[in-house]
Amino acid sequence: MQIEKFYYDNKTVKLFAYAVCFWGVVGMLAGLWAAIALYYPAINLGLPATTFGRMRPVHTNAVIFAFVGNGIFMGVYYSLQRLCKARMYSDKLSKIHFWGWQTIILVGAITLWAGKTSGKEYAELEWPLDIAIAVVWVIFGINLFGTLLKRREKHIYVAIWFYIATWVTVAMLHIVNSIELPVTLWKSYSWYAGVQDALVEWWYGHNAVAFFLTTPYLGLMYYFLPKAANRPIYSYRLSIIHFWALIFIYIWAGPHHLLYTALPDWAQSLGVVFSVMLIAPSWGGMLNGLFTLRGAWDKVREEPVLKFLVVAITCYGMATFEGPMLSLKNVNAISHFTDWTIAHVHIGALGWNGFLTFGVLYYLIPKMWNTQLYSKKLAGTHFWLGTIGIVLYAVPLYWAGFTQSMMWKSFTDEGQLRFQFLETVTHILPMYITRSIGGAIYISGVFVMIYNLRKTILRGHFVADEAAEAAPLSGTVQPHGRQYWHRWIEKRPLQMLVFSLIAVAIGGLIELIPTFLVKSNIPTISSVKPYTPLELHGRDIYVREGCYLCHSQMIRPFRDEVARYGEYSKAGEFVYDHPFQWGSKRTGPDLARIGGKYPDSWHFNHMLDPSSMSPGSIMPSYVWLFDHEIDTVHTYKMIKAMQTLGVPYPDGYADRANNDLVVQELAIKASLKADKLSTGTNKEIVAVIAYLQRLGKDIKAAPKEQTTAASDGHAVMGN
Amino acid sequence: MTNLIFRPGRSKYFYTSKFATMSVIILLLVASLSVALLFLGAFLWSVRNKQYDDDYSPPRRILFDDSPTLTNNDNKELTSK
Repeated sequence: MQIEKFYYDNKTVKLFAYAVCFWGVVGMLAGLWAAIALYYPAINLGLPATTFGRMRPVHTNAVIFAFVGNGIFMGVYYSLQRLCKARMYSDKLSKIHFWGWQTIILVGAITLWAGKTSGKEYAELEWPLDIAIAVVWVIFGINLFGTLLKRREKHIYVAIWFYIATWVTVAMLHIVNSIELPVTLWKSYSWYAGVQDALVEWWYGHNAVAFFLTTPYLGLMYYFLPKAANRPIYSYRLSIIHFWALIFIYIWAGPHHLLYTALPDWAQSLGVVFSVMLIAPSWGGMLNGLFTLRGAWDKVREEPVLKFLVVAITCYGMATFEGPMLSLKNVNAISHFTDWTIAHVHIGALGWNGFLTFGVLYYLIPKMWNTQLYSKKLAGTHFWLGTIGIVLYAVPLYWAGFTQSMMWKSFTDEGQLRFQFLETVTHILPMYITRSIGGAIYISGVFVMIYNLRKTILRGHFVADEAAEAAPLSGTVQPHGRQYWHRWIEKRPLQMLVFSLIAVAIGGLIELIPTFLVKSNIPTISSVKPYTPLELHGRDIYVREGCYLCHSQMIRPFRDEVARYGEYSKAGEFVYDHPFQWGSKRTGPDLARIGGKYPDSWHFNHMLDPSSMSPGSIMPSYVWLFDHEIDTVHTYKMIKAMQTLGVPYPDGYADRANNDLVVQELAIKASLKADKLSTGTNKEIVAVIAYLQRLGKDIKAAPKEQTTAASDGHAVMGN
Repeated sequence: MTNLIFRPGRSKYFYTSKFATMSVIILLLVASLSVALLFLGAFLWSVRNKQYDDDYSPPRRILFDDSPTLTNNDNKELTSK
C-alpha cells in the first residue's frame, strides 16, 4: 500500500484561536459591565445600549457563540484532521466558515446593542442573522463531513461522534427555535405563542447548553486530555456509552426550566425524570476523564494544560450534579428566578468551558508554533487567578440566590409577606459586588494568558502546513473476527449523521407533539383578547429593552407568589404572546399582573427615575422612551403579521389599527394630565405604559369556571 | 394548537390558523418518530449483544499521530517534545 503525504491546515486553527482570545475578552468584559450594572445602574451613562437589558444578551451571545463557538471550531479543526489523518475537506470552506462566523458575531453584537432582538433568551439574534448562522453552520457541516469522507483512518474516534452530534443537533435546534415571521428587516415575531413558544425556547435553550457547550467540549476532552497526558482514555467503552446515553437523554430535559409554570404537568415531570437520569452519563464521562490521569497526577502538578483540564472536568462534574438537583421540583421552587441559577451556569461556563478552552490554547499554541510555552509560571498564575475568580464569583451568588428566595417566601405571624420585594434586592447587593470582583479576577487571568501566549508565539515559528503521512483507506479490509453492525455505521459518516439525528429527535418530538396536538393543554379563556395596536408597540419596546431579563411574567402557584403578585398564571393567558416573555430571572418583581396595580403616572415617573418611586431601586432610568417616537407606519405590518400567526384581529383591522392607537394614546395622556404630567405625540413611554397596564388584566374578567378549568390541576402550594 | 375563538358577525366557532400552520410540522414529527423508535430498538439490541468489540486500539492510536515521518529533513514539521 502506497503511503500518502499530506499537510494539516494549521492556519484556520490559528485564526480561530485568535478569535477565541479576542471575543473571550469582549464577552467577559460585557459580562463584567452587566454585573456592575446590577449594583450601579448609572454605569449605562444614560445610553440605551449599555443598560443591563442590552448588555446581558451581548454578554451571553458573545461568550457562548463567539468565545465557546470559536473554541469549538478551533479544537475541531485541529483534532478532526489528526483523527482522520486528512487535511480539512476544503481550504476555501474553512476560510468562508471563519470569516462568516466572525461577521455574524460582529453584526450580532452591534444589533443587540441597538436593541434588535427577537426576545428569546440565547436566541436573541434577529432573522437575517438566524439565516446567516444556518448558512455558515451548513458550510461547517460540509467541511466536517467532507473531511470524514476522505479520511485515511477507518475507525471514527469517539471525539468525532461528539462533533457529529453537535453539528446535527444544533442545526435542528436552531432551525426549529428560529421559526419566526419577519415584520421589518430587524424585527420578527416568533411563530409560536405563549406556552408553546416557551416549550420550544427552553427545549432549544437547554439543548444549546447540551449540544453547544457540552458535547463539542466533551469531544475536545476526549482528544486533548489523552494527548496532553500522553495516555489513552481510561475506558473507551465507557466513552461510547457516555456518548449514546448523553445524546439520547439530554434532549428530554428542557422542561425543567419551566417547573411550576403554566406548562402542562406531565411535561414538567418528564423533564425532571430525564434531568435526574442525566447524572449517570455525565458522571460517567467526568470519571472517565479523571481516571485517565490515574497514576499520572504528578504530571498535573507540572503541566499547565493538565491543571486546566482537571479543573474543567471537575467543574463539569459539579455542574452536572447540581443541574439534576436543581431540576427537582422542590429544589427548583427555591432556586428558580434567583441568582442560584446564575451561579450554576457560571460553574459550567467559567469552569468547564473557560478552563477547557484555556487548556486547549496552552496545548495548541506551542505545538503549532513549534516551541515551548513561554512561561509555565505565568500559566500557573492564570490558573490560580481563574480558580479564585470562579470561587469568588459563584459562592456569593449561591448565597444571594438562597437568601433572596427565603426572604421572598417569608411570612409574618399575621400571615403577611415579611419583606417588600425591594428589600430582598438591597439585601443581596454586597453579594453582587463580591461577584463582580470574582469576575474581574477571572478576566485578569485571561489577560495574563494572552500575554503568555503572545510571548510564546513571538519565540516560535508558525507551521502553517504541518506535514503528515498515512496509508489511504483501502476499499476492502478483512475484518478481524465478527463484523458488527456498528462497524458498518462507523464507516459511513452520513448514515451516522442520520442516526444521530434520529436519536436526538426522539426525545424532543415526544414532548413537542402532544403539546401542539392536545387542545386541553392550553385551556381557552374567552376574556383573553389580542393586544391593542398601542400595546403591541409597547410590547415591542419591552422586548427591545430586554425587560424580560430582569422581570418575569410568570406567577407560580406558591402562597408567597400569589400573595405578592396575585392569581397564578394560566397557559390560556399567553395565547397571543409572540414571543412569550415569561423570563427566567427576577432581579425585579414579576410583572404578569402589573396591569392596573399602579396609576399611569406611577409608571411615567418610574421609567423616568425608578428611585423616585422605589428608593433604592437598581433599575436604570429609561429617559430615551420620553424622546423616541413609535413608528406608526409599522402598525399595519405588525397587525398583518400577527394575523398571519393566528391572532384573531377582525378582517381589515390593520388598516384602521392606528385609529384605535390614537384613541388609546389620548386616554393615557389624559390620565397623565390629571396628574400634571404631559408628553408629546407618539412617544414610546405611552406605548410602554399601555402595555404594562394591560398585563394580567384580561383574566379578571373571565367567568370563574374558565380560570379554574385552566389551572392544570394545580392547587396553590405553601412553601 | 386549536384555539376556539368566537367572532361576532360570524355564526359559529372556528379554528384559528395556528392549527393549519402546525399540522405539517406534526406530520413530519410523527414520521421521524417512527423511524426514531426503530433506531432505539436497534441500539438497545446492540448493547445487550455486546456489540462494541474493539475498544483497545482506537484510544491508543490517537496518541501516535503527532509524529509523522522524521526520516526526511525537508519536513516542515518538527516534533516539539
